[in-house]
Amino acid sequence: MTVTDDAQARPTDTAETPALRIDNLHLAYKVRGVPREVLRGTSFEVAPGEAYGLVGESGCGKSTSAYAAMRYLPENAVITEGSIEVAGKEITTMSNSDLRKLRARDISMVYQDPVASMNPSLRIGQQVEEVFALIGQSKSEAAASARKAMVQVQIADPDSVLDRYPHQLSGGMLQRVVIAMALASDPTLLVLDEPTTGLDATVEAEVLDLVRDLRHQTNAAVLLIAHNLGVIRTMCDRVGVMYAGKVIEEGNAIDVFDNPQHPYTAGLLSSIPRKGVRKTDRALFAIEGGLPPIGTELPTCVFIDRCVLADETCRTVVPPIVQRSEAGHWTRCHHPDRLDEIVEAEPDAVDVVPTGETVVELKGVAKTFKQKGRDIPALVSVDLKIGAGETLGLVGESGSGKSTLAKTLLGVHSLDEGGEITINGRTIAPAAESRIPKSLTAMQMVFQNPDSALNSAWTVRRILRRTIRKLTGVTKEEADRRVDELAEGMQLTQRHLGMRPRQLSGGLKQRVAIARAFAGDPEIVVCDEPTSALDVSVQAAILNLLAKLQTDDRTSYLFITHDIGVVRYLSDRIAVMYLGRIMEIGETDVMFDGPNHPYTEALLSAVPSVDGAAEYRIPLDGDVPTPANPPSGCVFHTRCHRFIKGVCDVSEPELIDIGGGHALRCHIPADELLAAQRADVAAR
Amino acid sequence: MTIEVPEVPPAATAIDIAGAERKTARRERTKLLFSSPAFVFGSFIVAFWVFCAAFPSVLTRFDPRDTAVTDDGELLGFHTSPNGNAWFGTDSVGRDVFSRVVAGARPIMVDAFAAAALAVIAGTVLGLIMGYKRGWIDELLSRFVEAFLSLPVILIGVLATATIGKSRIVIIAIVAVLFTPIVARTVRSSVSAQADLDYVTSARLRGESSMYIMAREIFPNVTATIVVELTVRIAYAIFTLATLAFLGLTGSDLALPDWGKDIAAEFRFLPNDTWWSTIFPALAIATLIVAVNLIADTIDRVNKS
Repeated sequence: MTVTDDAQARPTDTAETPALRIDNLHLAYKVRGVPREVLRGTSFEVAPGEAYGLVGESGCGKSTSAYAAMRYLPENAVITEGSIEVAGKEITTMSNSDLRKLRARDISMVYQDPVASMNPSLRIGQQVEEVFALIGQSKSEAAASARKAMVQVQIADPDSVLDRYPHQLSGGMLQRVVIAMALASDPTLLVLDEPTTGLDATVEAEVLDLVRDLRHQTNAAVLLIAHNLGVIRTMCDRVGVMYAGKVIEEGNAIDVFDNPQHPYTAGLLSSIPRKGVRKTDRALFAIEGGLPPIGTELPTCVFIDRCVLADETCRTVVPPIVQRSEAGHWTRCHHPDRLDEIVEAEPDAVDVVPTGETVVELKGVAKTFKQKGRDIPALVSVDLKIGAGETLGLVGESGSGKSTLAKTLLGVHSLDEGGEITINGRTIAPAAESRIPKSLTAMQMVFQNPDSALNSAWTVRRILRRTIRKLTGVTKEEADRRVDELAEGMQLTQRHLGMRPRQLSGGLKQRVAIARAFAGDPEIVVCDEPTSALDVSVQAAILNLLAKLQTDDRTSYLFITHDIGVVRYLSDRIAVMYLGRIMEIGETDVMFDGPNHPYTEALLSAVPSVDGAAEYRIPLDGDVPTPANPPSGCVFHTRCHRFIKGVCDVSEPELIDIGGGHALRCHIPADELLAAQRADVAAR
Repeated sequence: MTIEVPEVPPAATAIDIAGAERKTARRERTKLLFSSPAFVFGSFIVAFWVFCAAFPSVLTRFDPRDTAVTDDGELLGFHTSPNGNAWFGTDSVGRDVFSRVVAGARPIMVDAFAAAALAVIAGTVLGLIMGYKRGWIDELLSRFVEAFLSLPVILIGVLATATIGKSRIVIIAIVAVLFTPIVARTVRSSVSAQADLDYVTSARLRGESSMYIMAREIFPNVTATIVVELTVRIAYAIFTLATLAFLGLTGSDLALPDWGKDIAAEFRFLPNDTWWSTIFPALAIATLIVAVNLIADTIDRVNKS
C-alpha cells in the first residue's frame, strides 16, 4: 500500500488496513541477564477509527503491548517472534529514522502520569508548538495550531495556559494538554496507557468525556489500556482481555462485560463490588492465586494455575479460539459452556452489627501545617465517633484531607492544640512517639502500597514477630507461636513466612500488611486505600479478609478510598471530606438514597460504571482550592452546581444533623436538596 | 597462581540464603557479574595485587629494601634497564624495581582499605542520622559536609601532616576524615528515600526507637549503596595515598617500598631515558585504580538491573 499525506485519500486507503495489527508477538525482558517472556503470542487488531481496550491485571503485558505498538521499549526488551504493523507498515524491522517519522505522524501516546510527560522547565506553549513544528509547520503556523489545539481539548483560557509552566497546572488540565499534543499530528492511532489512573474520579470523568468527544472529531483509532473495567466499558467499542501475555478473550465491549466467555473474565467481573452489593449481602468472589512470574513456561492454557475448571485437557492441549457469537466474540478456553460452575460460590456474608458503643472519638481535631511561615489548615475541626465493629468510609478527592485525618489520628502528625482524641473514653497523646504502648496497640494501619509498607530486607516472619513482641511484650517463643496463628488466619503458609516481601505477589504482600496491623489485636485499624494498588481479582480477596476479620474480632475500621463501589460494599457509615472539613456523614444506605450534599452528588455521579448504567455526570469545574487560601463562605461554593449567590459565598454552613445521624454541611435545607436532586434525576 | 579472590561480595544481598528464588536471583546476579568482561578483567588485576600484597616473597628474588645482589654476590647495578635478572630494571640506588613494585602493593592496599572502611563506617552513621532525623540536625550536618567537600584533599593533607605528623595512622585518619562527608552525603540520599516509605511509619506506630529504626529497619535496605560506595572509595583512597606519598608527606623512610614515593624519587631521571623506575610504579597505581573502578561500576550496574 502507498502512504500518502493527502487527508482525502486516507479513509479509503486505510479502510481495509488496520490502524494497528499485532500478530503472534513474543517479547521478553532480560532480567539479570536472563530473557524472560512477557508476551507469549499476543495478537489483536485495531480497525481505523475504532476504540480498542486491553484489560487485565498488572503484569499481564498490556502496557508492554502498548509500548510495543510504538516500538518504544526498554533496552532489555527483545522481540523474539511476531509482527507489529501500524497503518500497514511493519515496525519490528523498521529503521530508526523511519520509526521516528512514524512516531511523529502516524502514532501518538498518552502516558499515565501527565506530569512526567512534560518538561518542567519549558512553558506549555513552547512544548505544544514543538509538536507542530515537528510535523513541518512554521513558527507562526505552530503557534496558531497550538492555540487551536488548546481550544479543541476544551481549555477555557488557552492563552494563559500556553504561557504557564507544567507545575502551575492541575493533573487534569495537564492531561488535556498532553492529549492535545498527542493529537497534533492527526495520528492514525492514539495509544492511551492508563490515562486517568493518577487522577481523581471527578477529573477522570472529564478527561474521558474529552477523549470520547475528540474521537468523533479526529477519526483516530484508539488503543486504551486501563485496569479500571468501568473506564474500558464506557470508552471502547471492542475489548481484549489479556492474561500472562496472551489475549484470551475478545469481542464487543458490551458482549464481553455482560456475557463473559472465559473463566478469567467471568471471575474478574464478579470480583468487583457492584450493583450496590454490601458486605452484609454476600462475600465477594475472588480468583485464587496470582499471575505467574514473567518468564514462566506456560505451554498450554496460560490461566491454568488459577482456573477451577482446569482438567486434563487443559493441561495437555492448547486451548483453541472458540467463536461465541457472530459479532466476533471469541474465547481461548476448552470449557466456555461450564462458566456457571465458577461464579457466586461464596455465600457467607458478614454479620456484625455495630452496637453503637464508641471506640474512638475525635473532638475538634484540627491540623495546621506550617510552610514558609504561612499556616496551612489541612484539617479544620473534625468531630467523629467510630463505634465498635463499625466501618467508617472516608471519601473525597485528593487534597481533601482524608490522609491527614488518618495520620493525625494515628499520631504520625500531632494534632493542633484544643482538639482531643479518645480511645474507649481515654484521651491519648497527640504524637505516636509519646503514646503509651496500650494506645499504640489499640490503633494500627494498613497502607495503600504494600511494597512501601513492608521492609524488603526482612522476612515475613520477622516482620510479624517483631510487631507482636513490640505491641504485646511476649517472649520470642510465644511471639513465634502467635505468628503461626496469625498467618493461618490470613491464609499465609509457612513457606510465605520464610520469604521476603519482594518474593510475594501484591495480594500476599497486602495480607502480610494486614496481618501486621492485626498483630496486637487492635481496637481500630485505619485502612488507607488498601486495595487501590491491587488488581480487582486480588482486591476481592482482601476485602473479604477485612470483612471476616471484623466479624471475628469486632475491630473498627476507618476506611479511606476513592472507589465508591468498595466504600459502599464495606462501610456502615460514610463521611465525605472536602478541604479538611466533613461535608456530609451518614449511614451507607442513606448516603446513596439522598438527599446529598452537592459535592457528594457530584462524586457519586463521576464513577464510570461496569454495568453499563446510563450515565449522567455532574461536572466539578476547576480544582480543589488550596487549603492555604480557602474560599469564603462555604468552601465548596466555587465548584458547586447549586450555588446560591449572596448566601454560599458569605457564610460557612454548619454540619447539621437532619435525622438518623445523617448530617450535611449545606445552606440549602435537606428537603429542598432532595426535591432538587429527584427533579434532576427525573429530567434525565 | 591465578587464584580467584573475591575481594568484594558479589552483591549486598550475598549474606542471604533463604528461599530458592532468592538463591536463583543471586546466582543470576553472580553470573551476570562474571559475564561482564570489565568485571572479570578488574577482578584478575585486583586478585593479582592482592596476591602480591599477601605473599610478596613468592614473586620476588631480591630484597626490595636493599641494593639488589644476585645469588652469585654480583650487584645488578644502578639504573640498569629491564633484563632477565631485574625484569623492571633497577633504580638509582640499585634496587630491583620489580621487587619494589610487588612489595609496594601491601602498604597502599592495606592503608587504602583501612581509610575507605573507616570513612564508610563513619559516613554511614552520619548518613543514617541525617537521612532519617532530618530537620535541624540534618541542616547542621549538611553544612559541615558541604564545608568539608569544598576543602581540597591534598592541601588539607599537606597542612595536617605538617601539624600532626607523618605517621601511617595519621595519614589513614586524614584520608578517612576527608572521605567521610562524601560517603555521608551518598548514604543520606539513600536513607532519605527509605525514610519516606511506609514501613518506617509502621515501625513508629509500634513504638520503635529512632536508633532501632535506623540500624535495623533502614540500614539493611541501603547496603547495596554502601558496598558500591566502599569500592569506589577504595579506588579514591589508593589515588589519594599515592599522591600524598609522591608529595613526600607519608613518612621519611625511603627504604620502605612505596609506589608514590618511588615515583617521586625517580621521575627526575625520565629525561635520561631511565623510564622504567618511574613507569612501573605508576602503572601499578593506574592498573589497581582502574581495576577497582571497573569492579565498582559493574556491581553498581548489576544492582540496578
